[in-house]
Amino acid sequence: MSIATLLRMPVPLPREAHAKAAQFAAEQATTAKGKQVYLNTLAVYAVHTYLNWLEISTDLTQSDCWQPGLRAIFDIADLAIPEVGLLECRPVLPGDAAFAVPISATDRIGYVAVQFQEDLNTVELLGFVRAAADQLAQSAEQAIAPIEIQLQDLLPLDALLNLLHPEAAINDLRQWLEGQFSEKWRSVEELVPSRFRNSRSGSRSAMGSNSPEQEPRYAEASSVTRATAIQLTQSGQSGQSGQLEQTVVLVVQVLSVVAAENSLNVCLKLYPDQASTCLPSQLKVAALDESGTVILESQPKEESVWTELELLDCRPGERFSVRISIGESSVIEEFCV
Amino acid sequence: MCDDQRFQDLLDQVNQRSELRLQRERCLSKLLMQIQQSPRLLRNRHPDYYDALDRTLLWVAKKIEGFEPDKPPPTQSEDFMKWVNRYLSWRITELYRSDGRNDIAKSNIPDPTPSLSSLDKLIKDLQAKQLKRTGQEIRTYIEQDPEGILGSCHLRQNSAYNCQVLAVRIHLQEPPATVRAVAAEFGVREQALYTHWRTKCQPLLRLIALRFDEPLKQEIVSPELKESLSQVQLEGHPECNCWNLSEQLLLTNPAVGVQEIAQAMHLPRVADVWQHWEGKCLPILKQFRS
Repeated sequence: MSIATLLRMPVPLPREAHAKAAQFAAEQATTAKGKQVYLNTLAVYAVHTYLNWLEISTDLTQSDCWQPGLRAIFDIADLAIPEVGLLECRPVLPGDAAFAVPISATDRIGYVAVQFQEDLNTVELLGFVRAAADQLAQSAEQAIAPIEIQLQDLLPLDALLNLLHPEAAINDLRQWLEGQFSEKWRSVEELVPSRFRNSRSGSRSAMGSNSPEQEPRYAEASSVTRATAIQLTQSGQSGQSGQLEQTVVLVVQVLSVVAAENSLNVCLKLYPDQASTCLPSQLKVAALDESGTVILESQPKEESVWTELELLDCRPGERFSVRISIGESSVIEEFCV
Repeated sequence: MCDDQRFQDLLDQVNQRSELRLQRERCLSKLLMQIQQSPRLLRNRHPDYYDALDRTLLWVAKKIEGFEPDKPPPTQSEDFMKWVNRYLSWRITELYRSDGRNDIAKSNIPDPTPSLSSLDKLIKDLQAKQLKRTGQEIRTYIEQDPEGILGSCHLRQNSAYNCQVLAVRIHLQEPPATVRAVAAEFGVREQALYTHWRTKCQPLLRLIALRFDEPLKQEIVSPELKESLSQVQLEGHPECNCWNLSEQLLLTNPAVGVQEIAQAMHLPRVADVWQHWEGKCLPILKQFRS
């Protein structure tokens, strides 16, 4: 992702953060080491502050950089996330296009880049890189020199939040094309009766750059289609008590298009569950881009059997989510291309 | 104004997603970013303004569900920023009140926060005033290696390529050398040097770091921690427990080497002691850091 397109999260640095940084820097043997410790401490404090806003637990006292001897010897800026691991928070100075991860910090779950400017009252969290399991193994065995991470390779902070919530993993559509799906994604035949699949009662919305004559559905090199049941719980309507459970089936068809290298077309279709005859009234489906903005939406007509959103020419690295809602109740499925 | 629409979308999403933790966090994150970038956000020159802002953002994140706009969508963003600013304004007023300055408009308190370019001078001054400098003590210890802990741990082919020399090159020298550069300087295989560094020198340096952690050493002798440490034993060798190891490795002067400990406990492999120390004892000690 280009650094220009990353959303930068400003984080104020209160006096307490500077006091801690000054305390740690004063213990060091040289000015250069003191400066390294000062900036490392502020970087860690900034990420700790950000995660605290979101009520994600951190533990500064469990971080190695909070231990006087370890920070004096090693170049470390780790933040302990209880039950998850250590997150390395690396300072990025003005004009830097990359940052280095020292060899003493290779056992981390990931790295957050923290941009400093001349004014040290605030910093900006630029983004995150996950330390993949294979990279970690490689780092531990072969990290002869510090690992350098280019700022242009950073992912948005959402990627960090994903890492901290493994239970809400994103569906990787490229892996789907390689035949890898999680268990919740089943074959369409299992969940959608043929009477629905053959029905003509539905609506379609599309968004993307394919020309009309380039019929995406038939120009693909390879494709995969999977389905999952989505349960929505509505609180009782006026005059009713209790909760109402409604189930719809989300079918996702991924098409690798011959004409557009590396692009995917994605067709998102909703059907009723087997016990119903049509989609629930008040059902809405929306596709959202990475920033959460609605890019395409549909509200099926009364007694429709299906509704479809088609996202054309999705580029590698793009992320989107699908929000399915009835009234106040909604479920979100997230995808990356 | 497109800012308004963006705010409105995020407000809607945070409220819609309150039951889905990950989605809520993502929306909240973007909302907190949007607040800070909003031209409507209240600014102030008090040096603790950033503390007030941090507390305000924390408060917004906790109380967002309690925000009740006067207007219907899509014009809630103005109400929202007023809501945020009301709390921030109260925080700022409190700052001035605690300083004994009630007239905010006339107050002009200098900002003590250093700038990036003034950091070197600030740190130099702080270090000059600091009576006890753990970093300096550790640096001197590594440079002089008075107990020979680092110098006696070397690559097989040459005793000159030992952990003391490596620690100075890789950590103390400014700018630090990479393992690759040291390997080239010594004319040894990079991987052999790195493996030695990672498996032998780094554990020794971690040990030295803890020997300089006075609060931790005081904690170790507390009955509670002593009891916890004593119970964590190397299988089949009750004497090789974390209390005995902590006492001998951290509290004894001069330091007892791991090899001597292994011999005294009749353990055939020194590596077993290291493994027990690093894998079992250090995580317990970490929990008791203050």
